[in-house]
Amino acid sequence: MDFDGIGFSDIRMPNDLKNSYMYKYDSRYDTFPEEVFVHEFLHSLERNLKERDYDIPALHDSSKYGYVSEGSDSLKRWYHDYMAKEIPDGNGELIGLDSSVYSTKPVQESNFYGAEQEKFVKEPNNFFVGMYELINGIIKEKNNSINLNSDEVTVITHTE
Amino acid sequence: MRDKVKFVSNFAILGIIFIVGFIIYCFYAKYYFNDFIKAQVNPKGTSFYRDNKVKATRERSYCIENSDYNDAIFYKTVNVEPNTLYKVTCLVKTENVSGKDNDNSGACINIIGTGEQSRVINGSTDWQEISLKFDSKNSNSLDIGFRLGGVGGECIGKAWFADMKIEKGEKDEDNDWDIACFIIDNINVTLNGKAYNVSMTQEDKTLIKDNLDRFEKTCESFSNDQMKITTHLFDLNSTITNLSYDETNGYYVAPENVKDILDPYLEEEEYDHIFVAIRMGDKNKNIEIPINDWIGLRRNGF
Repeated sequence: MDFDGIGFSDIRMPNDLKNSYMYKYDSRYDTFPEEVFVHEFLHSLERNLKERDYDIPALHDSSKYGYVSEGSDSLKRWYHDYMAKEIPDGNGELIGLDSSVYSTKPVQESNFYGAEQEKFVKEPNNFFVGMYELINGIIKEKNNSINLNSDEVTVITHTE
Repeated sequence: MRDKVKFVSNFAILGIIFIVGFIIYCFYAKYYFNDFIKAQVNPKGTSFYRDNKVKATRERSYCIENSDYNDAIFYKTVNVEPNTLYKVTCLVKTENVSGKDNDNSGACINIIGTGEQSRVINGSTDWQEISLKFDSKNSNSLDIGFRLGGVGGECIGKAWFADMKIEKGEKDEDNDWDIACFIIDNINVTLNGKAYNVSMTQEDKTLIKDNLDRFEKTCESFSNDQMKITTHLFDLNSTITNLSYDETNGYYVAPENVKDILDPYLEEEEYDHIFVAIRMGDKNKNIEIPINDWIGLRRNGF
């Protein structure tokens, strides 16, 4: 199966679970144990909007907007405001995830049921057209400059 | 006599024209790459040619041969409609393809300037289909290519590509998200000569289940019910036998490390996000797979 565009997140258990509050609901110490799941999932939504050139706050920029970890609630309020688009931007506006992201899901095989396939390229009708395109292609390659490397985004959560 | 000389010289001229024409045709047959533009990171070490002997269809296949480690591609600028789904497929065959530093380079389909590429094929394999599904997002045109190498990777070997196709899809614009969480019970790996064998406990699994339920309700609530999430939990009595590594994270589980384990489930149903829950150490048993201080990690399957 190809994972094209589908978010994939590792959730790691702490090595010393007995002495860790990770993932354990506790009204005194952690009322937001699902935070890691929420955080990793939100990175997929964040990336989704950024690739569509939406100007949204970075998921890791909670402190920039005045949010701090609030005891047992951790950054719950930040994540709520991020998803509900209720982060004050300091200029009287509220920012966060655009609501369109909630109906913008990864591409799936089922999106192509019944789709018509087209050939990516068609062989030329005759030799002379082909020779013209061959020479044209050589000229294009000499004048062309592309960067084959691009960024691959990896995100880490340091919550332990 | 004069007629004879004229006849011989005409014949010679025709012969020369024929030979030159034949040479030009052979050149064309071998190197004509349609509208594709060829490019490579290292200027030497790669040859591109059409192959009439190794092919999957009647048409000559497109061959990239990296005689030295390189990242090479032939691509075409394709006009696309913005915010539209597309799928590119092709057949690929490989011979002795291996990556220089990692296994994430090989023969693949790639959109230049993005991290989007199909799964990579390496080793020596017979013809098989690979595909890349993507959303054009804000673009009106994309450089879509067939690559022997990969994002940040170089490889050696030969790859043939054939029967390249493109299709347009229909978006699913509801707000129902299906999210899978796979608990993978065991990791059993040897890293730098040291064996690590670690397993999830029952307490681990209970916590994962509880948090997945909470995650579902939290996301619906925080989004003001703009999304509906259905989570699917799988407890797999399976063993991960290889891990991925990079300098930033140390060891981690990448999609390719669990592909064989998850494929049977992912072929049955489609999911919009995948969590993999694992244990990578146990202080009580003095087991600690080297990681760089992460508890959650996201890769977009690119």
